[in-house]
Amino acid sequence: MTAYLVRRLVQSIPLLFIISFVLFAFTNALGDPLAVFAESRQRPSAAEREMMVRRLGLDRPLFEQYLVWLVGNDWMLVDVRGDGSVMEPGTRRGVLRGDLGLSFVTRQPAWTRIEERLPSTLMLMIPAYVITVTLAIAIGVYSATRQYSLFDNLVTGLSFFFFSMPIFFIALITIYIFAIILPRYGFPALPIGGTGDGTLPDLVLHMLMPVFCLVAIQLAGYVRFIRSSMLDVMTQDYIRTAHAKGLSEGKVVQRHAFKNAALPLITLVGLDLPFLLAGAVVTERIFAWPGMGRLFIESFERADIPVMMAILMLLCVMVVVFQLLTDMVYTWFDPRIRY
Amino acid sequence: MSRMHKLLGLVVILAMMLALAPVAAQDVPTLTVGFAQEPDNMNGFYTSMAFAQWANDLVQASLFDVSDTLEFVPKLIAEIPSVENGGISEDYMVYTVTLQEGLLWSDGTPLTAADFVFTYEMIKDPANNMLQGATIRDALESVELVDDLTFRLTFNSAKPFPEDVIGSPGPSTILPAHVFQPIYEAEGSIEFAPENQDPTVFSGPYVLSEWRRGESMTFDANPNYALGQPQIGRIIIRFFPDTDSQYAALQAGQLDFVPNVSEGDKPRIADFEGVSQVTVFGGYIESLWLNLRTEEYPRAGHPALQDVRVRQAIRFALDRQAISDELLAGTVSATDSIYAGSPFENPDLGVTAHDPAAAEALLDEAGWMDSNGDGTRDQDGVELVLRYSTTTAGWRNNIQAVIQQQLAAVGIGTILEAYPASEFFASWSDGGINALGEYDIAQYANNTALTNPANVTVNESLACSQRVGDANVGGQNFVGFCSEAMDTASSVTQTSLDADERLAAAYEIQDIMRENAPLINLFPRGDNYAYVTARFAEAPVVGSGVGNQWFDILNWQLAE
Repeated sequence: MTAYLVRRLVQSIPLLFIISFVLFAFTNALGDPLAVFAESRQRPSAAEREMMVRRLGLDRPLFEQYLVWLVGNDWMLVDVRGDGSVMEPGTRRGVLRGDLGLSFVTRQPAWTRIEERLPSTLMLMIPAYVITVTLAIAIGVYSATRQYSLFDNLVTGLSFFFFSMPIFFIALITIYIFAIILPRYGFPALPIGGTGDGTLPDLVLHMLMPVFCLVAIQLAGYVRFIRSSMLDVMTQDYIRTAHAKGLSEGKVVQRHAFKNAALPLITLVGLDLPFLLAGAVVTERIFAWPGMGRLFIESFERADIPVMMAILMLLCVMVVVFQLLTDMVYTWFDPRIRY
Repeated sequence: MSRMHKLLGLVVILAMMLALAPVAAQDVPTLTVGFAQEPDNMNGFYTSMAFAQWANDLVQASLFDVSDTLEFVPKLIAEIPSVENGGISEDYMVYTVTLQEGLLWSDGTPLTAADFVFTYEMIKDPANNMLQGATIRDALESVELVDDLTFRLTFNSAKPFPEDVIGSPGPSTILPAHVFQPIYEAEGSIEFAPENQDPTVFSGPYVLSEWRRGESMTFDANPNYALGQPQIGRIIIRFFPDTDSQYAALQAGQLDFVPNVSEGDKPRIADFEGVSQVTVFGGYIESLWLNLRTEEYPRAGHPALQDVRVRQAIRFALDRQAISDELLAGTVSATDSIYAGSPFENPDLGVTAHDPAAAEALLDEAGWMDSNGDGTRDQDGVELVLRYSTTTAGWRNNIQAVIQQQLAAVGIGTILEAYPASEFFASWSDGGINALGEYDIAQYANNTALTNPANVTVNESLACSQRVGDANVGGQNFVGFCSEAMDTASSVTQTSLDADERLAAAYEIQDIMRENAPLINLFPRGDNYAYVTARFAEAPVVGSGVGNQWFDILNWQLAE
């Protein structure tokens, strides 16, 4: 097991380098970070724009920019004025030494921007994900054990209904119903946007609508997945044997069927978990939730390359880590698996 | 206790917690404002973002502000300097500025002329890498402290406009020397001072009490503000990046005041019960920019656009009133003036009427006929089909569709294109659509003149010397237009010390622009605000887009 983990970790290093370069090239091709000033009332002059370009290092070739992002520039001289008259040592240490760069927008370290948003994202995404998976297991297992029953058909229909709706539509309809329409009939209005005044009750109130939307949109897929996985297992010989031994339906499902049906679910959860850190782009935007998804979109809109790269690399590392964890969890669920 | 009882208990506790939530209700008169974007910096010298400027204006007091009617309103300054009162030298190169007595920073430290001297020194030092203040940096010879209330600025050339050098929209940020000086002395620059992101000392009517990143900013009345106390004790700015949910919050009464309502959204907000709107001068004109560049550029504009008759025909073909009526609820009016809405607009200029017959006659005269009967005019085998590009803003794309129909009615074909702003406005080096001329018609806003006739669109975006190219990658003229007569008039608007002469030059520029039509003005864009009517004791007076929207905030009053 240890040898396997070490091998996987070593394999992931070149992979992360390749991914980082591809992502760097893509993010650099997204647009001009200074384009945001084009329609600004206090538009910087051409000279100021040139100075900013040099300061941000955007006048250098892509490979050189990547190298600076990776290993920093504190070992080289930087042409401050662009004419060679003032050469100063660089100040960046590079990602390999823990410096993710400065945000083009706020001039803060990119990691600071992530630190500001990560807790809010986890506060939204973890409850939504736990509710989704818990409900999905309950509904999926129940549907599988009562295939084609009224409940099964109803859940299947609802699943497809929500699954086929875009999240922005569900979100806006939810806002319209719970914050605008129902209050007209005397119901309390649910708050739109943000995380509240810092108290737990207010936080819960502010979470109701976004969590509902996230669960509604994600639940369908999980329910269908678990149902189908359970149906596969329920037709296996060992389930028939368990029934023949006289075990109750509950014990057969719980101890024999679900444990085996859960293996594909673990793979799915293992793949999904790292992306909880990425937040929910549309939901966070519509509900003005101060999370990572919004940060990414805001950074994208302003071509804030250091912040985008920091978020993307964080996700890449997390995907590698969670895949390893998933592999370890497999061995617990299925003792036959050995590495 | 059974599991069911535990569960029930949990639900009851949760319900009680939710019921108690209103306990945290605000105990001071509070105005809740919705911003579409979060400010990127709380030091006005390091941002070009309108929302950041608006947030800064709550906590920063200028020497003077510009009112909703574009008049100067003294704030920290005792008197607006002029040649007559001796504040400006005869040659407009020396400014002597005197502050009001008794000014304090929010922490109780006296706010003196030394703070201004320090601020100008910071502007002057290139090590600070300031985004704003370049015009002062290049022109300021020296700044000297005369006494606690007086400082003197000496420039290397005449500066006829006080607002450019001592007031909003110039350096409307004053740096507290007692906070920034130690940082500057230690670091050699204030660019990365923590105070830029988390300021603690303020000069304006409010102080920033809390900034919850990505979510809200809370401002409380500044007890040390010398010019009076605001009647609204607290302002909370909440960030709503999605306009639909922002407007839903306004409709639901969860927001009181929303700035930056786009023209395209005004009609639907007009349908909200209990919500009013106010529009003030914004300083922008939505325009169609015509690509007049020729073969020496990576992409030349359509050859037809070289003929001024074709450009004028396009203007005749546009029914700008229909665009206003159909898409913008009739809230805007067509203009042919690049100074529209400003005090320097020529009232006698008139507006080109929608006249398809005149457009067709001009196109015929220019030799563009539909010789192959396909419904589109052509000449020497070249079809008159124009690439019409803009950003992905929905309201702009709607205007594109209407203009496409209007041009088709006179035999001009268009191919509509929309790009993200970061791609559309990217620089020449980054392959920007606008910079490289990957369009025949580009739709976006140009700046108009503000408080003086020096018009940045004329000075930069249409100046001969600013034509972008390999030899001038930082150039700002992306249409290739060049008129020596206009450059001369532009120079007069910037440097003449004679107000009448400047005005005459501004009128001449408007004539040249109308005659040559390198861009076609659609309509002036105001700064639009929406507010919940019942929340205010009376309609709030909002400052123009030129200066400080909160210039009258001391008089804003919430309803009981």
